[in-house]
This record gives sequence, structure tokens and C-alpha cells, in this order.
Amino acid sequence: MNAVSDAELARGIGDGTYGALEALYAHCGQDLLRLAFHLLGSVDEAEDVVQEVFVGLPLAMRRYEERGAFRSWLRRLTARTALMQLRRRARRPTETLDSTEARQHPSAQDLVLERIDLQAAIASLPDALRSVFVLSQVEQFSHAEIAAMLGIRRGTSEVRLHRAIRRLRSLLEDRS
Amino acid sequence: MNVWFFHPTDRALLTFALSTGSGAVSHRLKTHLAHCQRCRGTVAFMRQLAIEAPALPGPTLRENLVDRIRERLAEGAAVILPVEASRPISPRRRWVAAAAVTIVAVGFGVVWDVNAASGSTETGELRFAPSRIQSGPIVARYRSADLFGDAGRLVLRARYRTKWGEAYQWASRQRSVATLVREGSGRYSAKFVIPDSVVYAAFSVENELGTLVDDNAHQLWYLTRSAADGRPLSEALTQRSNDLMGENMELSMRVAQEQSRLYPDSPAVWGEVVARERFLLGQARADSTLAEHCDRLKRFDSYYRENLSTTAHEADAIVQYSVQLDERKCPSASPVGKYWQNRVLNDPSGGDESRLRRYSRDVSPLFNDPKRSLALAERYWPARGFFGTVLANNALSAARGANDGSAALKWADRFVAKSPSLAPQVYGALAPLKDIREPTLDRLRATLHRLQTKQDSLRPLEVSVAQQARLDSAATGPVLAAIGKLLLADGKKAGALDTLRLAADRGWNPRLFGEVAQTLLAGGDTAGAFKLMARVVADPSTRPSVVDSLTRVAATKMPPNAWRVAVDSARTRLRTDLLVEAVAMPIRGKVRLQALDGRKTDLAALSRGRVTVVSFWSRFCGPSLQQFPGLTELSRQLDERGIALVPVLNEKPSPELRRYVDGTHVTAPVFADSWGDAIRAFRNFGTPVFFVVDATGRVRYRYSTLAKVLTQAVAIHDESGGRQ
Repeated sequence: MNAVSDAELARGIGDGTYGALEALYAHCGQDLLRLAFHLLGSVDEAEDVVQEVFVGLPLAMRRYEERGAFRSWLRRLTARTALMQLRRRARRPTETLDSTEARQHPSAQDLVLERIDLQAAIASLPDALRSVFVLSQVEQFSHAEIAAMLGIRRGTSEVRLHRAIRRLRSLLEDRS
Repeated sequence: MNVWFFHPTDRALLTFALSTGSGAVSHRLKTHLAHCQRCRGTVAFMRQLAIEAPALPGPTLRENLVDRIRERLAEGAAVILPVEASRPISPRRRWVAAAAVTIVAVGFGVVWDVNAASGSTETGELRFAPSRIQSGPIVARYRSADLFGDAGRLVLRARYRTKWGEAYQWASRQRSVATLVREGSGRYSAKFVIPDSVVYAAFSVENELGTLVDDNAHQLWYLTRSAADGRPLSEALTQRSNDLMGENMELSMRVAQEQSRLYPDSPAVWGEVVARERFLLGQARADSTLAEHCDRLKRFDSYYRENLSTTAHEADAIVQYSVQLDERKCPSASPVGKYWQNRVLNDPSGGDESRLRRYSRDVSPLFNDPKRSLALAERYWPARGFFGTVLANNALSAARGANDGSAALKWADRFVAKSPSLAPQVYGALAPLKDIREPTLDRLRATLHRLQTKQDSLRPLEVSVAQQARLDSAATGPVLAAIGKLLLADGKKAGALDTLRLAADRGWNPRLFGEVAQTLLAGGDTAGAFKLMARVVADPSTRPSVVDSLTRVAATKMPPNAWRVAVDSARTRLRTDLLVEAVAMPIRGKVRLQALDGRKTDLAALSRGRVTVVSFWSRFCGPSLQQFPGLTELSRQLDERGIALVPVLNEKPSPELRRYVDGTHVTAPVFADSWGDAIRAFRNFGTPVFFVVDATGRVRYRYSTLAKVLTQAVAIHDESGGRQ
């Protein structure tokens, strides 16, 4: 039997192929949720983003050109969707992980203390700095990719990363 | 001086922190760091961050999230995601863009629902609830494609298949299953019921007149019937695969692969997978998976031998699986196949599989005895599905061979009942049988009437009413010609000549022009005959000797100027008739090919920006073998006009293949489709088949024949004034 690729599974969701959604969700769901969560700092919003990505895949696949790895394309797509959510949220007040999520969400309680500190520090960064830091250092996107996703120049992405690191150092040193 | 007096930039520190620390810049940094505690702390922090940040955990996926996604998909929700990357915005233009984004964003959410999307779309979205075939009503919801404007009603058309459905669509009938009524801007819905016998259904949407069709970018939409455990029925997937045969072989292969994932214990499914993979992905792929298939065949063999309740259907499936495996590399395939073939032949239940195998065994020795072959076919009739088609086709050939008019008529009717779209060819072939002239005329007239009457059940889902009318009009030419000849044989000269003139005006068919011209000449219509002879001369595929001969005859009957005008006029008509049938389809991806000496090349390199004829051949196909020597002449004719020819064989280069090609004395270079790129790019499924590609690399004629391709290639060449 031939292994079915993630791209074929994604096409299968649109075609109504039995089990395609479940298989792709099992392969990629956790990874995408993590990405959205670190960008948004909210589990509920991250889940909403993952949901929208899977529901939108059948249409999005028509524009997938198979020039790179499907998984990378899907991660970029999820990041863009989360960033749009971030921009939308910027226009209305919301609670961040710092104020509620770290305490309320059960899975967050399992995190190592230092990581909670780092995660909380990241969550407290301004959106512009946090987006670049998460995409670069947590999710390992290149500055060229980040620049394309955020609609900024590569140099701007680099500067924001340095500012984010400086701010994080200051925040973590203050806490310790 | 190689020391920093000021603190290094964050960028330099980060580069150093993440690098191995070698090189001149790092040396300067090291020197600075040796003296600067602050920067050492920064580097240490950056390194710690680089380790911890990628390891940050995320929340755990909740169980119900996938259920929520499934529900929304079942509801027909559609979301447009931000697929395209944003381009960097220059600072000068940023405020303008920001203002625009703010204005747009006020009205829309993070992801835009299709309702809100304003972009132009080529195809709409059709969803069904439930998304499978069931006994009760099914609701169809359609979001309109732009092409329908604000139509109040649309029509949902379908092609239904039962588990007996045959491969390809020759026997298919279509139907309008529901009227989609507009519910809001661009949104339509309808409710309909699918008969219980249907396991697979394909759908398209069109306007009420049938002039505009949304066929989901040639993919159609489809539903399958499911098993109790939620899997699509294996029969339903088989029918989906059958429906795609010849239309989209790549998707047909993917469906078969998916079927093997869902039904790994079915020998029938694996036979289909191997057949399609070998065809589409080439012999190399078949060889790479042969060991796996060989092992599986052995497991099936031992499992089913021990199982006392093995059916003829299962036994036949093992035979079909075994014949797909190369017996030289899988020695067990042959004895396993023979054992199960015997089981099928001796099966007492009288199932279709055993009847077909017994018929095949019994008919082989009767190849030269059409009367006994006919009697044998009669014993097996009626037969369903594929067996029925095979039987009717064989019996019709035998009846014609035996010159038995009444039997030929009977089997032609049976054949047409199974494959109505083939009626023009089937009844046209009866014309030489004198004793059934009248009933044949009746049937040809009925066929003509059918072609001239809108008959939606025979119109494919992808084809509009206007396109079908053009196809039907072209198909009437040979039918009219057959009627005209029968009338002439009956002594009805005036009616015959009128009918033949009509026949010659339906499409471009030089062979028909020649035949009708001779008949008109014999009937005294000299002007009509020369008009058609001019068309024969204008056709590039006409041999120079025929052109000379016709020109000489014309010189004796009409002034030279009049003949030249007639030929020029025929050339203009040729271009008009041919170009209206041309398409313009881009070729997907690079088409790699291999010369018979192993050298790798590709289609673009061979075309070099010229109009190119790509022809597909096989050593294992009778018509291919017959026509293959014609390649040399075609190559010469194309070459004279600056048109390239790329003959493609469906196997990898081998000494055996080279010996074969050398033996045919074909002088044109032949190429191997070693990676299956060519058949995928052209979506080709048979041999010998021809494609014409224009100078810009677009396919202009598909699935053409040796008789037509030269004319078509020249028409495309002349379309651009012969420029390359």
C-alpha cells in the first residue's frame, strides 16, 4: 500500500474522502495549534484558528502549487490566519495569557516553571514584537518568510527580533 | 585594528550566539566579549533562548475540536484563508495600505466567509447534506460561480452508477435531478432523492437553458454510498474510478489507492491499483513495488484456498491481480493465476465472472468460424455490464463476418442499447449488408433524428447544450453519408445526392469529401464534385500524387483560375472548420522523456518553440502496431512544414525495445515516457493517440488520430502565419 501524503489528505477533505480529515488532523493538528497559541496567547482563539484552517483547506488547496513541502505551506497558512486574528483583536480589548490562560487552562499547569516564565514573558510582549519573536525563535521561520507574512521588510523583522529579545531579557531578569 | 571599541550590535551578537564562533568577525567579537560582561550576558541569554524557545510546549488538542471541524464541513461551511503572501510595503505607501485595511476590516472577520468574498471565481461550491448517498432526501447547497450572474434557478444534473457500471462513460446516461432555487445572493439549494440501486453519483450545475455549465473545473462533484461503518462502499469507489477512466486517469489511480487503504483485504482492489500505477507511473514504479504485490498475492492465494466459501467474484479478482504482475519477476503469479482461473471456469453458481471466462475460453477457437461464434454469443445472452458489451461487440463482428444481416441488426440494436452514443458508428457499419438495407436506413434515420434532437440524457455533465450541438452536428456527417449511399444503392438518385451534399457540409472529413465527390460525379453533379475535390486538394494530408491527379482532372473541366479559387476557398474553410474545434490547454509541469539510447531530455527541448505533434504508442496495442510504420511518412510531412514530431512509447528504453524500433524501419527519433510525465501531462489513456501542441506550449488538439493530425497541426502552424 502507498502512504498517502498530507497534501493528498488535504485534497481528500474537500473530496469528502473517508478519514482524510481525521488523518491530517492527527498528523498536523497539534503542531498548528501550538503555532497559533504562541502567536495569540489564547487557547480558545488558537483552536478557532485551527478550526478555520481545516474548514478552509478545501478551497485553499486550489491555490496550493506543490512547489514546496506541504507541511511548511500549511504552517505558513496557519500563521497568516493567526496573524489576521491578531490584527483583528488589536482593535478590541482582550485578556492575554498573562492574565488568565496560564492559570485557567489545565495543560498550562503542566508546564515547567521556567517555561511558564518565558511563555508569560513572551505573551506580555507587544503584538508586533511577539509575532516576530514567536515566528523566528519558537517556530523557526526565516526572516524572509516572516517579512512576507507580516508585510514588512526583512530588516524590520530583524530589528523587531532584537528588540523582543532585549525586552524579554529585561522582563525575565526583573522577575528573577 | 581588529577590536570593537563600542558594544557590538544586537544583530552581530545574535549571529555570534547562534553560530559556531569561527571567522574574522567572531574573533573581533571574542576579543570584545573577553572584556565585556554585559555583552557576554546578552550572548548567554540569546543562546539560552535559542534552546528553550523552540521547545516551548503548546496546549493539548481537545477531543471535540475535530468534531467541530467535521460538523462545519458537513454543514457546507466554506472559508477563504489568506493563502497568498503579503508583499513588503514601502514606508511611503504604508499609511495608504493601513487605511485601506482598516476600512475593509471593519466589515469582515479574521477569515472571510465565501458570502463576503467579492473576487471572481471560475467555479462555485456544491455541498450535500448528508455528504453520502442515503435512502432519504439529500439537500444540495450551491454557492454560485460568477458565470451564472443572478439567475433565479439553476439545474443540478447527475450521472448515476450502480455497482454494475462499466469503466469509461460510453454507456452512461445523465439526468436533471433537481432545480436549485436561489435563497439569497449567490446561494441556491435543492432537495432530491437518489435511487437505492445507485452507489456513486457525479454532479454538475448549469443554467436552465444548459448553455452555461459549472463542472467544478472538470472535476465534477460526487457522492458515494457508505457502508455501516462509515467507509464508502468498495463498489462505490470502484464506480468512481470507472467514471474517471479515460477522463482523469491520475485521479482514478488515486481513488484506487484510497480504496486499497480502506479495503486492504480485497484482491480486486489491488488488481486495479497495480494496473493504474503501471500505466500512469511507468514500469519502473511497477518494478519497485513488485515484491510487495507478489507477497500479497501469495497471502491472498493461501488465505482463499483455505476458505471454503470463496466466491467466483473473489477468485476472478485474484486472477486479475495475478495477470498484472510480471511473471518473470514474480514466478508465483502464473501458477496462482491458472489455479484461480480454473476455479472461476468451474464455478457452478453461474455468476458473471465465470460466464465471461467460459465464454472467452470457448470463443477463442472460433475466431475463423463466425457462424458458430454467433451461436455461442446467443447462448450467453443476456449479459450485464462489461460482459454484455464484450458479447455484443464480438457477436456484431461475427455477424458482419458471416454476412448475416438479420443477426447483425439484432446485435447492433443490443450494442446500441448498451452504448447509445456509439449508434452512428454501429449502424453506419451495417450499410454494406444488402439484405437489411431498409431496416438499416430506418435506424440511421432514427440516429440522425436523435442527433438533431436535443437529448439531454446523452449529453455529458461537463458539456453545454451548444457544445453538444456542435459535436452532434459533426457526428451527423458520416450518418448522412451512409444514408446517401444506401439511397443511391436503392436507385433513389436525387434524394441520395442531396443527402450526400449535406453530409459533406458537416465538418472537415477529406475521406468523406472524396467518396461524395465520386458519387456526385457519377450522378452528373460536376460542379458539386469539383468543389469537394478542391477540399481534398486543400487538405495537407492528401498525397502529392492524388493532388496532381485531381488537378489534372480539374484542368480538363474548368478554367485554371476557377480551380485555384476553389482550392483557396477550400483552404479557408479548412482553417475555419478546424480551428473552431481547437482548445488551448497549458501543459502541467516539465515533461521528461528518454531517448532509446538512455539520454534524458524533455518535451520543451525537443519542441524548441515549434508547433509539435506528440504521439503515444505501445508495442502491446494492435492498432499501434498497424500504424507505427506510418510515423516515418508523418515525420517527413511535418518536417517539410517545420513542425516537430515527438513519438512517445509507454515503456523504458531497453535493448529489446531498440531492436523492435529498428525492425520497424521508423526513421523518426522515438522517446520513452520512463517517468510517466507525458501521460500525466496530457492526461492520455490510450494508444495510438495524437496531440498537437502550439508554439507557445499549449495543447490545441487532443486525442487525435493519424488520419487527422497532419491537417490539424498545419492549421495551427498556419494560424500564426507559419511563424515559430
